[in-house]
Amino acid sequence: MTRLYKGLWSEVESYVANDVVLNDYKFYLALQNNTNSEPANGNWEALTAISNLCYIIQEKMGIANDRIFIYNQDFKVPQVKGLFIVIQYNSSEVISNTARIVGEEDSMKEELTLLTKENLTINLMSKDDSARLRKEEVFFALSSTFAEQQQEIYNIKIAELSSSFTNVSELEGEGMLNRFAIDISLFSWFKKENPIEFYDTFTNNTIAE
Amino acid sequence: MNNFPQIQTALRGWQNKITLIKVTQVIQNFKTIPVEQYLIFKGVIQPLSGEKLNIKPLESRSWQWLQIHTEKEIELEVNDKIKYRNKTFKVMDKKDYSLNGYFEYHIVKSYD
Repeated sequence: MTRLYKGLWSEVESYVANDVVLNDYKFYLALQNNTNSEPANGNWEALTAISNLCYIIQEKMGIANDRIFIYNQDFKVPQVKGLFIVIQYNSSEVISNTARIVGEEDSMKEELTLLTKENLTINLMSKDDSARLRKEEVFFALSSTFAEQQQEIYNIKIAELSSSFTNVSELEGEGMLNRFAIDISLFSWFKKENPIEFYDTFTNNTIAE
Repeated sequence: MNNFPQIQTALRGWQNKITLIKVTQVIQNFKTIPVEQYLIFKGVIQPLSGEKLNIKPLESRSWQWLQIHTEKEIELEVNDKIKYRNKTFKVMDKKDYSLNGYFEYHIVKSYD
């Protein structure tokens, strides 16, 4: 289902399933129609960098909902023909971590920002030759205009692209004949604000004379 | 047809109503989420016999193994996860003795 970004969450706006809003510096996907239901709650699902990457690939490659997912050891890829895409989270590195004070007395806030580099592997697998035939489409998806637009919305940046496909078909033996892995990195930007007290309103212990 | 005994009669004298919850995964918004399906059937559930345990790998013999005998096939395959009495088990073996009137499943205690 195509997502529609609606900007900052508003209590007067009516949202339908698959609308995306920004609230408190986090992105949320509407799971059902709702009005005046501030995220986070059961009407909304928080979006992560890895799920945004799944969305870009799904939209550009036309992959069905039940054929692209974030790696979970409990889930076994069905033994049916056709392409499955599994995106695996490998590691994350902190590139920068800053804290600064903004605002003035009575409205001061600490502003925390974090930039991370997340290393992911995109696995294409199929019992037939779909994975081998369609593996190049991943790069087209990641470099498309749609991908650029999504990166701008979600504060992510697809970094270095792998220069090759790793053929890991042998890992699956005869159970899964074609499997290719593509390593990519993703920069993600996070922000959080907390109200803080002005310095002269701190609670101090009084020294008894 | 064959020389093996038909077990159905004995099984009918022993079997009880058993309720298992089969836990499968479905994909929603790129995440896998568990879905529970109740399996209610008649059968016999008991610890794995020492003889059968002996042919399991040495390191797994101390795990909690159970065996299920049913007259009719139930919707369980090897690697399926199930819940029985609030504990999670994994199906490790399925034996089709339908010509002799029964099916046998081996399950082992698993992590949630």
